[in-house]
Amino acid sequence: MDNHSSHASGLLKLGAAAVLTLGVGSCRSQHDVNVNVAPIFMTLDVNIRVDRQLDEFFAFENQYRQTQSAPPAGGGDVQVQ
Amino acid sequence: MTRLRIALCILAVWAMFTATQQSPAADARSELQARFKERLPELDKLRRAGTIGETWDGWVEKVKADLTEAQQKLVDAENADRRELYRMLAEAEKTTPEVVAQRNAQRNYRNGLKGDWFKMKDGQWRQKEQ
Repeated sequence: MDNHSSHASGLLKLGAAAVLTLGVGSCRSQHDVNVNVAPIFMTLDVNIRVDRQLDEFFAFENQYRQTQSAPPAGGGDVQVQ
Repeated sequence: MTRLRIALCILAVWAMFTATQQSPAADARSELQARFKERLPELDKLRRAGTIGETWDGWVEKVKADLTEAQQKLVDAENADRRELYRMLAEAEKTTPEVVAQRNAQRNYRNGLKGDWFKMKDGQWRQKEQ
């Protein structure tokens, strides 16, 4: 009887260990986050360089408009999206 | 010694000559800029009158009423030169003419006056309010 009981207890322990091992193993999660930052910077860089080129090229517009009475209205970027 | 002087003189003349010469690309840019400059007063008059406006993708267009033949010619010439400028700057900055055109549209909006017309991406014309 005792032998049978200790055998059952051993099996129970083994089962518990297996469940624990599987449980811990299944709880492990892996998150691969690929953030590609470089193209964002490259786009900004291109926009800044293009803006500078355009401002340089059309500098005469500001000179011309300063000779006219009305100042620019200002305002932010146009919503094109 | 005399040979050295002659060589130096030739070098000085060559340096003066090359300093006054512009590259073909710089020439084309200057000519393009001169044409934009020449059209600006007339285009600004049409803008203030609400006859023409700026589009979201960098072009100038009639707003409502049809343009006269002369006005249409002016608009066509402006857009043809813009196309050339966008191509030139795109090549220099290793990007596309469309990107340059849209950046120019943003610049035109910023520099626009209250009441100027702007065509949005949805095709609607809107007047700048401030």
